[in-house]
Amino acid sequence: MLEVAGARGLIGHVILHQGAESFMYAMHLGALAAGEPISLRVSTLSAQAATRKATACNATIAATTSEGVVNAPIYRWPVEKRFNDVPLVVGWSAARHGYQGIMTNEDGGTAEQCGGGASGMQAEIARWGRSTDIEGHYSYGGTAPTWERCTGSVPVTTTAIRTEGAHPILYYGDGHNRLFEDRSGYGQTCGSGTPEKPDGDLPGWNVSNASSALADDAGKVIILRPVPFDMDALGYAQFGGRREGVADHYAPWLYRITSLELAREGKIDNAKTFGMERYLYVDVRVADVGGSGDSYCSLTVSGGFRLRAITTGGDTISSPQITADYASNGNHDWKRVAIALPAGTTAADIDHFVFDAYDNDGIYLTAIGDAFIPKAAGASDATLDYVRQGTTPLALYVDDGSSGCTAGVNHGGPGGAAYTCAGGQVDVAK
Amino acid sequence: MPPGDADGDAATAATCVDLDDSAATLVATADGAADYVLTFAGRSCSRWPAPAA
Repeated sequence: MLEVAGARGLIGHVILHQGAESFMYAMHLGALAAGEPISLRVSTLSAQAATRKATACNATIAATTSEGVVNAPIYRWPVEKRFNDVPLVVGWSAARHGYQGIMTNEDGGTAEQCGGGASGMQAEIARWGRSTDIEGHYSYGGTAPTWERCTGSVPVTTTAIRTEGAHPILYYGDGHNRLFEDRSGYGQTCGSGTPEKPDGDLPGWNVSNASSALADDAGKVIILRPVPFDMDALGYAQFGGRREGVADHYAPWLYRITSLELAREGKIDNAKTFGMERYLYVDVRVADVGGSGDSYCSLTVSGGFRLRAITTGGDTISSPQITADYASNGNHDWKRVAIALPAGTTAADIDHFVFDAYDNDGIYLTAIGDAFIPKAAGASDATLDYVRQGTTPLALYVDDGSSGCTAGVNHGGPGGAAYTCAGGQVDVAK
Repeated sequence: MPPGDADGDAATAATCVDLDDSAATLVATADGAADYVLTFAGRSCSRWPAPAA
């Protein structure tokens, strides 16, 4: 881990997550004065067993007026969690004036609510189609900026946050990776249940904390200032579900870092939860998904759909059941689906898909998007092995009962277009 | 080069500085007062994943 410093002292940390392999790192520095020097050093917060040496090549600082950069969040995360649930990636939307923080994982939240360990991650991946955690952390649109406090999203006029220029300073709040205005929220205002406080006591945060003043943060926090990636270029301005594409489009290495983190934490048991290469991720755009619950963590599950991958050998591999609870409450949006694969399955093994609506839950299937399997590259990186890439529009109404269909067509979907009534399940080409 | 692109092949022509935890090394100076973004091709002398702290 590196420390980046300027005339005002420590500006932030850079986690060298690609280890000994050269990688282009970036951070936003905030406002610098003319002539202000920027320096690097290896942090004493580096892992205990790490060799305290590193190399930086072609270091450059570039002035910017980019709206996405000058408003970007500054994260202050517990030093105890500097390799655990870390906000390494941030997405930004100019259209929505907001940021989505992407953490490597979440120890609490869904994972802990659903049993923790491999069981918890199985549910997390089934519900959200990922083992990273994405949170809508900050928005500067509207009459006042809004942030995701652990108690619920609030405007800064209700609960103020520290700022540096236009940058919000956001502290780790709880195991859901929600936030607080200083170090004192974790384990206290943010809750002491296991989903909220999964990592026990954190000295300098909920215990052994004489002061939560900014000036006393030194030694208790790491400071991360990711340069945001453009989510609107992925279609996020129109469909919020496209935030799921940030990692695969801009930071595929995150799949590997997260998978390594899950392995370190003993969450991969190869029965309920697997390494990244054992998942096929598929984007489908859907509307009117109904039902409730999920396949692994709810007492009951009803309605919704399953997406099935059909192999060239004719085998069927099914996704968990996806219901409105985890598909934008039925609104027209993209949904990322994760399908656990038998060992050794590759992208070339997938021949086509089947979209299967459940329990007379009529669903409009309006597009299929990317489908890929992450693969290890080097010691810490990943590449994506694509089954298909890009958006293919569809106009299908999938419903066991074909309700609302006249002469094989339904007009009740998004835009009032003509959707072909396909019965309860339909083949979708890759 | 945008952040996130691996840069292994560029190292031969790069201006590189070796870093440790004993002293800070100057790598850049701001031309004028503004918001800035820092980029660099970095590598540590340890492999990831980092051992438990």
